[in-house]
Amino acid sequence: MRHRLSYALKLVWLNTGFYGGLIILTAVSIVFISFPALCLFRFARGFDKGAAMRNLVWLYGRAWTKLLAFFVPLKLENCDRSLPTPCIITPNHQSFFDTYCFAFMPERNVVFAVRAWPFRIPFYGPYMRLAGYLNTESGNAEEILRRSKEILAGGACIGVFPEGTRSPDGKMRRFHGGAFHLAVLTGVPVVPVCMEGTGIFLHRDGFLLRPARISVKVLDPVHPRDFTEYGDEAPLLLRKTVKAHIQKALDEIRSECQ
Amino acid sequence: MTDRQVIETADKALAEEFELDVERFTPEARFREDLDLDSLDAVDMVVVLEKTFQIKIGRDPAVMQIRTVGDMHRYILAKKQEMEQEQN
Repeated sequence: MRHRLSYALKLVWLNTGFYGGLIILTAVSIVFISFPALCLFRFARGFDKGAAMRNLVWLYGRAWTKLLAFFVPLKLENCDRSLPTPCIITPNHQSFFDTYCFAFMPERNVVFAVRAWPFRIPFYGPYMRLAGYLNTESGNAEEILRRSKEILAGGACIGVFPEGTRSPDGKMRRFHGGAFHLAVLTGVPVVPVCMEGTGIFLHRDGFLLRPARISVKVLDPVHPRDFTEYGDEAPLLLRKTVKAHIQKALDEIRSECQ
Repeated sequence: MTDRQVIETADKALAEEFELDVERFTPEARFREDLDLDSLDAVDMVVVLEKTFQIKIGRDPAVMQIRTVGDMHRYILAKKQEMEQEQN
């Protein structure tokens, strides 16, 4: 009984505190920070419109990571390592908040390739469009591939969840091939990232936050040049290798938690 | 290899590659709508079928017409027949 009451109080604290903090953070960012920061990035730093917005999004995400650290224990491994630029960042996917977790990494100029529904989120959608994020449901795969090549050629990284959707049970789903075809075609390395606990913190089928330990581990980049000898099979093998690396890291993190 | 064995081998190879249940490979299943496979997956599908059956498909325009698992079965069986005729 006492344990249940304590858990219920923890849930109330977590949900009111975190969501309250998130609303304040978002409001302050939109009202007070976005315009001066955009001007700073755009005119003082000389970024184009999309890159300026992506830097702003990263700052917002970075503030979110500080808020998160106040509510849940975090385990961050290799998150401060500098990534090869450009690169394709491919984490596993469990929660809506996984995109925020990109801000644990230092790379600010990340174009997210996401499905259509996040573009319809109030407040977020217009920022996503301004940041030049890729809507993976907006056209055929070849057209998305063409735009992705342009983004990488412009020096930005691409962040994509190869599973395409959030896992309902924490088990990794099948990886779609797009990111790996892109890597082989452009010769850009893939950076696998292992995220664990975010699906417990915020499950895909609800809004209730639950206590969780969140781990983010940035793994060694996997270079497509190591697969070119396999010809047409290279994207398949690259995909399998990246997934195996993430699965191994996921297993290690889970065994540590037991 | 009988036609049935060819179909089963193709389904098994693709199910393994795309991490899908082989039971979902019914003849009427549509690759895009029912199996969530896009045009890039189609490129991988060609590679898997070439490797499994030791055949050359490449950029065969007939592959672009494949919409369902049944279409894929018919394509592979035709390809197999074509190869057998070439060998004879």
